[in-house]
Amino acid sequence: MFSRPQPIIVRILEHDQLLEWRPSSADAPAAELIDLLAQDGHHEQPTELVDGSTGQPISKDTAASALKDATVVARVDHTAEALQQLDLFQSQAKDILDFEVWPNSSVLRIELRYPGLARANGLSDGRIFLRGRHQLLMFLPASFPDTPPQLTWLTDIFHPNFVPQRQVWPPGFHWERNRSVLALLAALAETVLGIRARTRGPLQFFRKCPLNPEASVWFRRHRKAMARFAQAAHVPLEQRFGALPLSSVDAQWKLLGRLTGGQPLVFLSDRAWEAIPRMRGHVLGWLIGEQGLWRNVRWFYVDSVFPAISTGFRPKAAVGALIDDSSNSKVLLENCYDGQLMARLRNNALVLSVDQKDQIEGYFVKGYARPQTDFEEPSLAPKIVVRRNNSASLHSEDGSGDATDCERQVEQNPRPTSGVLRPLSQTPEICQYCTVGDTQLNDLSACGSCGSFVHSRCRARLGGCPDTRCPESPLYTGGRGR
Amino acid sequence: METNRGRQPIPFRLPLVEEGFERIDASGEISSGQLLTFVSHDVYDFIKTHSIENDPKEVGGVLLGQYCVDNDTRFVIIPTAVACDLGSATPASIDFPPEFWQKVEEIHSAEYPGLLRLGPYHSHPGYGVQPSGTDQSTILASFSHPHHISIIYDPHDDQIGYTCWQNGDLLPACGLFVYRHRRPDDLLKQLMGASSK
Repeated sequence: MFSRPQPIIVRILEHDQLLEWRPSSADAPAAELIDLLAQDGHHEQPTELVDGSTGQPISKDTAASALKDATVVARVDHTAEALQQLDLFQSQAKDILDFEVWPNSSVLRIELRYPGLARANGLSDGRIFLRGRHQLLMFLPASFPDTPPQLTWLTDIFHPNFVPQRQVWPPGFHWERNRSVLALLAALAETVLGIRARTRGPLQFFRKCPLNPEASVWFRRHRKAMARFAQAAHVPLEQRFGALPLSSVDAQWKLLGRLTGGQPLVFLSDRAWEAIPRMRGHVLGWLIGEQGLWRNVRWFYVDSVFPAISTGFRPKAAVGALIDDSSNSKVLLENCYDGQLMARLRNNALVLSVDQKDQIEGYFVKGYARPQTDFEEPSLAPKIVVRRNNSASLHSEDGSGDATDCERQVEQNPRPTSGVLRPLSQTPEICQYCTVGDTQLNDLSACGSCGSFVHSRCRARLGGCPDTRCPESPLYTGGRGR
Repeated sequence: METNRGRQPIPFRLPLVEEGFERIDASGEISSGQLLTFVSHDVYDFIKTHSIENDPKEVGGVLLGQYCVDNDTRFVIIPTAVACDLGSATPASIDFPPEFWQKVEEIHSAEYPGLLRLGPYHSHPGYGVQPSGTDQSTILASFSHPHHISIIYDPHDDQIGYTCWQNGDLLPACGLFVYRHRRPDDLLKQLMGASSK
């Protein structure tokens, strides 16, 4: 028998407002309500539904008929929002961040591919290497974002304030001033890189002791080399034109707005253009790219937008800043040079200017640019699946074509059934930077000066050898590695 | 007809950095790394109006302008055009008769000496801005040098695009710049004078 759907009372938690939802049918899923709330402008952020009397989450698939006696509470889904921020960070720094989340969990595993320091694995001489893979767990408490995430460092690290298997926090980073996962990630990157560290000098008796006193001494001793290295390694530029982008490569550019001859020319990558509205309200940003002069006219290419902390480090590749009207922006602007590109959003429109003086009326966006509100949801699908041999894999079940080089080699050369253990008396044949072992298909080779194994691509990323005692290292310490 | 295959571009400031160009819009997506095209808004508006008024029949004409270079960036500036009002046209074809070329020769030499015939424009009512096989075997075969372009306007979709040649290949159609100059007569004189240097 056909039954008319009953109206359902919905309480909007943030606005303390009551609404009535009339579902399209008795079988309409709760997702319909979420869509309606988004269309109505109640929540710009992701929304979750809970039962007002029990506090239990309501699944998006729950039929309206099952909610007829409940008071539905709609609130911002801060966990989903945090995941969107991670996804946004990843879109701007593809090779720097990876993360995964388990379904129905508030714990994320994060991998930061940033050059930090660590003791070499398996070596007895305690050499310190630049290490490019770091992992941590991020736990989002129920009261997030009122209380900050909890971070547990997992991998080896040589840093005054971070030690493995302990809860950590970027020194000098205040959550209450930057309640954003994006800002926290930027602070973590600065910490790994060594430019955000709290060390203790020989006469500072009253300051809190660093977690790793030895690293504290090392960092103080090599602070100038660390600062130089961090300048170069902070935010890599993925695409570089080297000249006015219109004349450089075969690319499609869409002109938004109009130009006036003689005004600065601005070119945005599509990912930078998409990131700008998504960062609004979360974090300020550094516009990462390149700039140049054509005749006497300045041009800017913005490749990505990197989260900026007002008191943080200005990347060398920054050509400007994404700002707003907050006091944090004023602090950030003090960290900018003259002649920088400034971007801000006004009434959902991107406003560009140089030195906040002349507004630029038109700019180019690379490739096909999607509408600003149309962005992909982060993938929440678990990446770990159980295979038939009961070993975990980082690939999808149907990803037979996605096997890594290592996997293919393993399949071609299956392991012997009885294992072999051998003592490691020499430098292990793994890349000391990314900690991935050799395969026939990659390019691991020994450093000509110190013998440390490193991939050529890792060497290029670092600008030298990862061993800090090697003369070819960007952090060469003159042999005083310990 | 323009026959100088070895034509060199004339040094000229790129309109994007020249203050005299008070407004530059883009119609469609601009492809970088190829010959850029800057069309006067008068020519742009004329092509559109001419095409819409004669829809569903095709219309066409010849673009007059200059072939320029600034640093290593090659571009054409098109301040004027001559419409073809002779010959026959159907919804799928247009004929440029010898009388039309004679007329172009007279106008070109009398009013725009120093400019180049940069290529044809014509309309494609309802079938996009890519050149057809017939276009390639007829009119484009006569305008196939590195400084030649062909503009096509589709009045049904209100889309405009141009094709040009690179290493002997005809590139896919892409968008072009439409400009307004503060002193169009001065610009025309500069462009006409530039070729004689």
